[in-house]
Amino acid sequence: MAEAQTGSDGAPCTTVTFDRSLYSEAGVLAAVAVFDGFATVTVTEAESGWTVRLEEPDPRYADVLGDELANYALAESVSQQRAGGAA
Amino acid sequence: MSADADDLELGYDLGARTVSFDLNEELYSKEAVYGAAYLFLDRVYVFLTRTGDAQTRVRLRAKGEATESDLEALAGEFANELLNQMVRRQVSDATSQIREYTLARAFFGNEGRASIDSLLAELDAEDLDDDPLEIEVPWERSGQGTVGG
Repeated sequence: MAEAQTGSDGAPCTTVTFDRSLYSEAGVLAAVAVFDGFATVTVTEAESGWTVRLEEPDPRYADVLGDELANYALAESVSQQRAGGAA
Repeated sequence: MSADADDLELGYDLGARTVSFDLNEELYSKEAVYGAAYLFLDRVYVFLTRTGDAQTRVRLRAKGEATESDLEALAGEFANELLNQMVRRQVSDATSQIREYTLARAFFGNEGRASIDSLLAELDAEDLDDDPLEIEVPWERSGQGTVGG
């Protein structure tokens, strides 16, 4: 879920955590690649999945960036699952 | 805020522009959840999380302002679409053998070959002696095939 947080420097940031059993890695990374230009994006991988951190977002899209990224990752994951890839 | 389970079979939580509910994967397959979620992506923000071994939490967040009744309707529509996806899957599974048989018969069955053979025989037997449009006469020999002369 996209959660608005405050970074260590006090600047606002958003984190989105994707569960490995529901989202594919390729889907998450595709979303990160697409939204990389709208914020400083870092991905942290854990056993349960991936956490995407969005910092210094483009102010025009800051409110929706996490949700849009999550939608994109889900769409990609579903498409890949339908194409026969592992999700 | 939670709805009374007696009033609505799908229990859900309402938040700011958000409705969330848990789905039991023993009842709703992951494919059905994916199918329904995919159809809602253009209308709402969809997020899936794992809340248990066989439980998926679906969170739908409206892209604009939404009242409680809007969100309740959204949850209901999603639940309906889940059932739709389940039924589609069941029908697909139940008729897969029929589809495979029909395709196999269309491509490899004797009837198809016989019909092609009969068409070829029909062409062979056709009387091609009459050629009122002189289609069989080569273009050059007909005297119309010269260019620029």
